[in-house]
Amino acid sequence: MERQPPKWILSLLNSFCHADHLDEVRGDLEEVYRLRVSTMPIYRANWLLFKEVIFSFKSYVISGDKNSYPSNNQTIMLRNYLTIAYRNLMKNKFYSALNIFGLTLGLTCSLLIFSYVANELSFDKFHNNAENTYRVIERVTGEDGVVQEHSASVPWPVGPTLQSDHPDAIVTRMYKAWQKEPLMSDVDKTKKFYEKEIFFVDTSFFKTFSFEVITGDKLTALKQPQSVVTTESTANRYFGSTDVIGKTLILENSLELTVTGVSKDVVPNSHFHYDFLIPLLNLEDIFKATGNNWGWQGWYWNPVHTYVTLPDRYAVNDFEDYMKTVVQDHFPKQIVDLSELYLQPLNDIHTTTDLYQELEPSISKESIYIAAVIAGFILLIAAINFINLSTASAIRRSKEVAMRKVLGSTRKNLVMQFFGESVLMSFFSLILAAVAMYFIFPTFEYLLDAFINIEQILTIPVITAVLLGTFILGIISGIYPAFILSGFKPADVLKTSKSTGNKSINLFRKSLVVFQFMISIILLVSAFVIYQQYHFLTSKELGFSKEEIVLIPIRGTTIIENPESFKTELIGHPEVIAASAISDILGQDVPSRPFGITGYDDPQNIPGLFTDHDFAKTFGVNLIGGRDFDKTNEADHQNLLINEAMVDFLKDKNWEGQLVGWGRGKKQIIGMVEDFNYMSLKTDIKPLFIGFSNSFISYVAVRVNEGSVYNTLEKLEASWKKFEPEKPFVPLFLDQKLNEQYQSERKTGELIGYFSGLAILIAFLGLVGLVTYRVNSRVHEIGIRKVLGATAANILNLLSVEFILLVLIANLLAWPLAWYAMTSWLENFTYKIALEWWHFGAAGMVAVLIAAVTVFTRSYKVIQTNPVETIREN
Amino acid sequence: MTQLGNLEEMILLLVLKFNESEAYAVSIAEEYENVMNKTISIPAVHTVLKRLESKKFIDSKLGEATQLRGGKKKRLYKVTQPGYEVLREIQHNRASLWQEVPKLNFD
Repeated sequence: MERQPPKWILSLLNSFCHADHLDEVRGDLEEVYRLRVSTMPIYRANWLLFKEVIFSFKSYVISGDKNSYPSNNQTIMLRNYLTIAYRNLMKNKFYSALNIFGLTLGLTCSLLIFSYVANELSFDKFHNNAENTYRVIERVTGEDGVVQEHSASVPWPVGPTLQSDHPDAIVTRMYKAWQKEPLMSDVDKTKKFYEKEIFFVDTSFFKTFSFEVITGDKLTALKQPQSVVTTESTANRYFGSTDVIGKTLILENSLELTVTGVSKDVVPNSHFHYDFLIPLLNLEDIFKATGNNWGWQGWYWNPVHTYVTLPDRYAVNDFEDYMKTVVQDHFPKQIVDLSELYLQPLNDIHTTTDLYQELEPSISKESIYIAAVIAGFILLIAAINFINLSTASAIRRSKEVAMRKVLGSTRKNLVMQFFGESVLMSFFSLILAAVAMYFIFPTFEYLLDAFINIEQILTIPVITAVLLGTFILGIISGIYPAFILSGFKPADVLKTSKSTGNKSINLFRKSLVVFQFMISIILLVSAFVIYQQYHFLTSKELGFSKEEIVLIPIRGTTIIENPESFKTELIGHPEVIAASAISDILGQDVPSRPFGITGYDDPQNIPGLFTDHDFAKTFGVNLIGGRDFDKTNEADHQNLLINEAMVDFLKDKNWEGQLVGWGRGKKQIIGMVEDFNYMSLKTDIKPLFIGFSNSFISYVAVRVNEGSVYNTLEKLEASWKKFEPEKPFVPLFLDQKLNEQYQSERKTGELIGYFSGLAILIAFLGLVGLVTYRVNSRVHEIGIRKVLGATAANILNLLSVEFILLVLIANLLAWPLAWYAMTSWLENFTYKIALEWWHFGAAGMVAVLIAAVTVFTRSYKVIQTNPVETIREN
Repeated sequence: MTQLGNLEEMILLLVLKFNESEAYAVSIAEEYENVMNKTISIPAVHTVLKRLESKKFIDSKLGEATQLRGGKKKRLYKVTQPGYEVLREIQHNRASLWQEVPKLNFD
């Protein structure tokens, strides 16, 4: 029997070749094939045939005759679908614009949030060893089981001990000068700045972290003491170029550093951002230069961030067990049984929020997920819009559907057609959204007050996810119109002149509108509540005055040796009411320190604030018992003040004159002040000791006359120059400093505010579409009603009741949900506002007003039309 | 003057050769292989023929079907007058060039 060419190869040819040429091409190929079969093995002939079919693609499709018809039925239909889709878009420009605009808004919004979420989740993932790298965390738990200190940093010797016990692990320590911002200058002292982001690091730094070094050698740059690695922008700031190897920088006017490397600026999604890296090789000098006068390198003080990169074969659990022995062997007696060291994965650092000494603000996983959920909801609202609008316009296309069915279209064809259209629309919107993103992105970053590492986020999986997501969005949006429309019976549609939607369609669409408004109202209520809470936090009475107080950092200056004379100089200005040295920024944080209290066996970790004379006067704190530090009494330098909350904590309630253990000595309590919020408002007021000390102080707080803060600054600076002519004067304003603590609340409130606005806008677009459709389908009814004597008000009432009712239902559904969400959010705060009815009422009103305005404006034209016009039409 | 590629010229010549009998893709490909000692694929011949046709150097019509071709018709080609002239011109130019070339002896 003669050998036939394989059918599948030939059908491949059929699928693309024009009918005009199919015969001759196929004939030629078959002829050659049959000739070949007799001279070569069959598989080889098949292979050649296959190759020739593939090569024919070029000559018969791409360079096919321009005027010849596409032969293929599928191609014709595809072309027809596209044409019809295009014509429909053009025919209903209003609906199409609403549709695409709504979808684009929704996509833009959710892409923005998505990029934010992806950025927050991508922190520190860029390090080569990210998976195996951990930070050592110290947790000290009190005897009552309450965590006393949960710190991201550990004592100095922890790192070297781990390293010497495990030579194959990579251990790196980082020490940041917390207490002050050191002064950095170039050789001529022409450029000098207080620098926040100076890190003293071990030589192994670049083995642990994969930051990119552009000039200099990664491995040797941190080997020499007194060398420094800077970032590109820092190098430009000091030297105006990045070619700075070998140049000199001076730390605190004393320590000369040679630049040995320049790295790229640290990417936004890193949990710390250094400007300078200085080898941790000459601690003495570093301590001296950074004004650290403890300098204690023992196992108690814990200022050092320590990172461990474990080789693959190490189990985290085993290493943590080993660290237990380190605690047992080395930690000081009073905390050895309470302390614990454990490993925190590098990738979790940014999403862990409860650590003391964290390098930069972190964000809880919860907030990231909330953001993702909001993005999802906004997308859903946009999809619902699409469903609503395309169902509305689809009902007008029922004749097309009927016609197609009559001409032999199957249900499958129709479903595919409508899916195709909605997928096409969502991809079109994606393109618009991408363009919009490009313009909005800087504003978004500004609002977030954070940078998003877009290059790192835009990976192939993410792009695939976005494309897939858009595709799914198209499918979801198209699913309802596709199945409803394709289900029409051609006879019904073609017989009646009027196309109608049935009741279940209307009910479905109404519930979609209710859902949209429900989500918008929830977001709006949240925005109101969060913003009001922020306002409350920044304006609450703290028990001390934060306005009119200027803080002058003095750590590392000569003033610290004799603050009294500097204070005297300051008080000489008529605008200055009082001045007091202080150890911490009041209202932000006061670290706990061990005090020995009568009745307790072990030293208790209690917040300890250090000041000197006139503390109460400067901050407007009320003394309610005993007396303040007396300037004439030298013995008061060893005495203490307490707050009211302390009385509850003391075992012996008779506080006056009680002795408290501090270091090796004892201090006497001489006075009590009214409670004030010395920590952030996220925590309650706890017991507090206020001690007198010159060595712990970091700032001089100056209280000036109301309204004269800015006028006084020049005078303060003049006084500063008398004491510190070399160093720049950089005052802080206490109220600003304290308000900064609540930036994340402000940001969240603002962002949710914007997004709720957008959600409402999208819902509004959907409503516009729906109202327009409803009004248009009732044109005749309205005309007849008018003829029978209905007034414009009657008709408006008739039309609006339906929609206003929907929005009211949305309100009723939204309120309990919003109440629940906001109550649980407010539980994070010790000091919080009460939820009030107007939070809900106002959000509801906004929604109802928007609905009313929509209905009125869309109905107006129809109501104004002369009934003759509308009724005569048919 | 319309440019004619090397392969185009060759195929056009082959069409001319079969002008009075059957000039179609398979016969042209076979003859090409005989003359040039090189193989050529059918799609390549198709492509060149189409190009020549669009340049109006050849004309085509459908011929008869055979059993060997699975009952499919052939497309038969004929050289047009412009096609013939182009070939002649090339031939002429070459010939006159050859006339002026010195006779060489590479021993």
